[in-house]
Amino acid sequence: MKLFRTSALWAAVAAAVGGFVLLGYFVDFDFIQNIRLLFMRWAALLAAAALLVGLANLAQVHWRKLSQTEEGWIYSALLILAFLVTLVLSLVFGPDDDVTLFIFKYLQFPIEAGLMALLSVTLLVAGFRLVTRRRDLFSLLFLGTALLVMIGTGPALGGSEGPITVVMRDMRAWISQVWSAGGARGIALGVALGATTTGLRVLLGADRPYGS
Amino acid sequence: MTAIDLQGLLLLFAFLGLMLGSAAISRRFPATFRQIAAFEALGKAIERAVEAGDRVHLSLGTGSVIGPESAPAFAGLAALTRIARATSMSDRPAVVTAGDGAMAILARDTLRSSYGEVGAADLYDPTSGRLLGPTPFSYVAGLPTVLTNESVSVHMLSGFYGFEAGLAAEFGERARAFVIGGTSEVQSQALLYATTQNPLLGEEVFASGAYLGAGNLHKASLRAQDVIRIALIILILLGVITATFGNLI
Amino acid sequence: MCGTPNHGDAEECTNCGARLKPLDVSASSGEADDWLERIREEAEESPPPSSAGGFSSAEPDQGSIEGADDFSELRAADTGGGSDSEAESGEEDVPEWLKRVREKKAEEPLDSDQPAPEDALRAAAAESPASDDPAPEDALRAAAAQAADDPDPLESDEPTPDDPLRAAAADVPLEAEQSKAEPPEGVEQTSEEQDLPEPKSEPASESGEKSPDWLEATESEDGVSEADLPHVPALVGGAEEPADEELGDLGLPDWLGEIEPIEDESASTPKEGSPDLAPATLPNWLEAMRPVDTFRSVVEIEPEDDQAVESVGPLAGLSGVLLAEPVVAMPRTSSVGSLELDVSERQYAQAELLHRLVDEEEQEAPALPKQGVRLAVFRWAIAAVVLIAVSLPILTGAPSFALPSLEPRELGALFSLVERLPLEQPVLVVFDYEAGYAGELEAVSGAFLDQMMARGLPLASMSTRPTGSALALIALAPFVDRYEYENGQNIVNLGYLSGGQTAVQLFAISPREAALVGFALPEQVQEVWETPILDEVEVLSDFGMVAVITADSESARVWAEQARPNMGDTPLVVVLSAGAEPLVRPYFEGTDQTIGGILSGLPAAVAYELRNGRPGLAQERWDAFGSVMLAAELVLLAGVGYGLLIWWRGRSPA
Repeated sequence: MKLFRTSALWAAVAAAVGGFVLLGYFVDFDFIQNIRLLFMRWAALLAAAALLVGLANLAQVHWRKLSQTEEGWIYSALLILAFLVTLVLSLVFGPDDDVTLFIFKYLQFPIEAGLMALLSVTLLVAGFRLVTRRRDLFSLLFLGTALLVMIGTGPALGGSEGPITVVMRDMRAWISQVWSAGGARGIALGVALGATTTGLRVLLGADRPYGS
Repeated sequence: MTAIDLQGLLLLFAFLGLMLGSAAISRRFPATFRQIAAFEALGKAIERAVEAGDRVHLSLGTGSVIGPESAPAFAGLAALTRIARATSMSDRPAVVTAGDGAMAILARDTLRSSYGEVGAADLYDPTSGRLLGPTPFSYVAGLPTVLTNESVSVHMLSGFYGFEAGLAAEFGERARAFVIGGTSEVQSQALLYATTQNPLLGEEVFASGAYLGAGNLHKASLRAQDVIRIALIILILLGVITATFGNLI
Repeated sequence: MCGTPNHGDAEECTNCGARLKPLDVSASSGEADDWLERIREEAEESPPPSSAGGFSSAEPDQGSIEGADDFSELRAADTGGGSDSEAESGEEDVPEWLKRVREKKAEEPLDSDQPAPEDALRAAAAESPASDDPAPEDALRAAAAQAADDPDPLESDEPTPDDPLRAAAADVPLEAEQSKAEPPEGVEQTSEEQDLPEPKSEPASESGEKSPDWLEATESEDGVSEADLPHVPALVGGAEEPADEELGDLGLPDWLGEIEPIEDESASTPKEGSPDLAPATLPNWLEAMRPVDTFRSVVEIEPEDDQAVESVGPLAGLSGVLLAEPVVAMPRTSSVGSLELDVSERQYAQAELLHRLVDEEEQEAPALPKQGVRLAVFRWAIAAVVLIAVSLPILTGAPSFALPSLEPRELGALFSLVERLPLEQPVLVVFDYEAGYAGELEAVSGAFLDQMMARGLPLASMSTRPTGSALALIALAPFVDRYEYENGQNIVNLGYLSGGQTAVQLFAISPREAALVGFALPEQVQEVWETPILDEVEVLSDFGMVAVITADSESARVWAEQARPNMGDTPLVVVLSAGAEPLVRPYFEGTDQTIGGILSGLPAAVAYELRNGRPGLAQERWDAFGSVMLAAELVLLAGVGYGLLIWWRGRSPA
């Protein structure tokens, strides 16, 4: 006969661990601090282990796509091939060897840089369509602020000593450091409140992201 | 450092007390919140997806499960319980992706328990919760494959994102899916505002559980947040007044 | 089943003839068969009497006719005289009530010409055919009272309407009134009672049926007074009240005598002497039992032939069973609770949602605009503009933008801070960004790294991201070559710290326990903390400075909030992407100044390089940066203009 319901047991474990770590921020007793550090080290180890589990799951998903020749199975095959090659090379030569760094420097690095460039084009397209899609005052305000900041940030054709350039630069600083910073700070406060209640719900067992 | 940070503890207990108290009085004084068009549109979009036999995709972001980056992802997991139940009768159950291995594991667990609660345990597929890539841009690079090959018609972003949020939303728009996006990162919220029709600004991403009916404590949490927020506003104003006019006196 | 009250000992209903007590066919079945057989034999011997007149109601007509036949046969049998031996043999089998009847009859001289009660009823019915107030029950009672004197047993087992009356008359003394039968006070005469069929005017003999003798006798006589007939007060209105003594003789219960039929004004007074069959009225106590919310305003008593025979349950086989379904399914108003609807907010919201859903069903949703090739071309066009804007300055050198002459206020403080750093203490540089941000951050941090390495400061690098260590190697490589730094001697890489924010906290508390394995260490170095740079570093405050290069404001805040308390006097400096600056600047400009220096954006980096006096990546990309910024501004302006134009054209009349 089960003495505990499994879900209640895991909820109790999560609440206890979270409670100790949270308490460690407010109470400076050695016992609590030691337990908190121990749990945090375990968390760091588990995060690394979870990365391995995630990579195994990634391989499993694409292997199934490849074996069942689902739509896009060719890309899955390429992914698995690249995954295996990188893994083997890293295990054989080490992650900091020139061979492994070659893959990073000339494959991953340019791909991610290209995605970043794609992002800039995407944002430009979205900015162009914003007023067409959403014809309201906030969209105009959004784009107007973006234009002012860009004009104040970028170099001007008239040189950096020109009066317009100086005015635009000061305006950019004023928008960025006063309005933008203030608004962002307010949003950050709200986000902190939301994050606090989310964490407390997990500690109370109301939210169980680990499943029941 | 003081042995006990009383201010912090007081704030913590105030949060707890407000949450539990709001939950206790919720029956007698039910909470009413303003309409968020994005959530209303999300409900309809999910219904249409179920009827059309399309899939709902939830993206939990690229943040780690450790630290403040996990908060919007946990809010997404709370919404996932409702989404999984709503899509349990669909031909294509929901799929969840994450940029962190631990978050992908949590997504699988949430799916499994949600399907089990509605008696659709056979719908659970371990690959429904998956890691697309260990880095943010590699995660985003894997999104188009999911969106196009798995007939996704609802693309929900709820997690921590950097600038890649703009790409993630744009890929959803290109796939002609219903896109709704929310994150805790302020810069990324600006990108989502520009790239998606249904952005969740501020802390609206943390309200997804309350608006989707994930539980009574979710609504109570919103109430507690409102009370604390008002208190903070008053304190800030008092501080401003004190700092401004205190020097003059 | 018909609702007529009967005596407690009655075995059959006086009204409808339904059996009130179950037949006992067990031990005495043989004995019952014997006396029944005897009765049948006697009945066969005696001639059937002729029928005279009819009755006022269909039900009693039929039953009475049958009963009359039985009575006539019985009378004939009785008149014919049963043998003493038969009487003696059946003496033990004769029911008690029958014995009493016989005794009474024996006391009275039997007159064959005396009409049977049923005949009297028929005669009375024949005399008053237009009577609107028939009282068949009274007539029946009278007939039954008369027949109660007849000691002959019944021929058949079928209950007749007269049998219970006879039993009642034999057992219970009855007080009756001689006044005209009127319905009891408070009892309404129903329409059915008024509509009870008139007594048959034609004698049964005329219809060809054999009518009982007593009926014929009744018809042949005129002016049979009602007083001569035993009269039982009817339960319905219009019935004549029998004489008390007659009712008492009959043995009917007292309450029957208390019942007075309702006087109907529209009914014509019956002729004197004719039995008046008043319509049935309900007594007060029965009327009080009527359901309030009945869905039937009138209770109809269907003819026996039309009544359905119950097929299930304990009443199977019986006719005239009241249907339970109407009573059970009768809608009733709730006697408790408020009539007001208690609607909660959630229900209001749900009702509102339902309304909206229903309304939306009638609305036509606009079709999604087709986004086919058109958008892809547009996207390619924008991409082409950006590419051209970036490549033009690189390829052609034009356009060219002037370098900024003004530098940010915080730049001088940072520069001075780096200049004052002690050469004995290593500087920790955290590369906390992804590969996609390397293009900007390498340019922004270049001058900063250049200054430090130009001074010869020992550097230790690390990252909390998996690819950060490799990015650190790439970012430091030009300066390592320029200033001839030796790996493991004056520069070392601590590697990747797993755990994000947690890793930062752990590293801040105990760096040696958090970072165990380095990255890209020379072969001669076995332990990263044993290198000359780090052998004197135990805690975070042993570093000369901590510099965080990141594009993420969250990362900068984590270092400022989690690690700064463990750094003591060691300054914390952040090198940021332009977008992360607003959220991090308060840490620099605040009163406690958690961050000692900040460098953000390409313009600041250009200014830093100008202060350094050595050009770097920032200056190389300045023209391209300016060109693409200009192109982006023009695209956005075009977008605003296009959007406003679409809006204006939509508003203007066609």
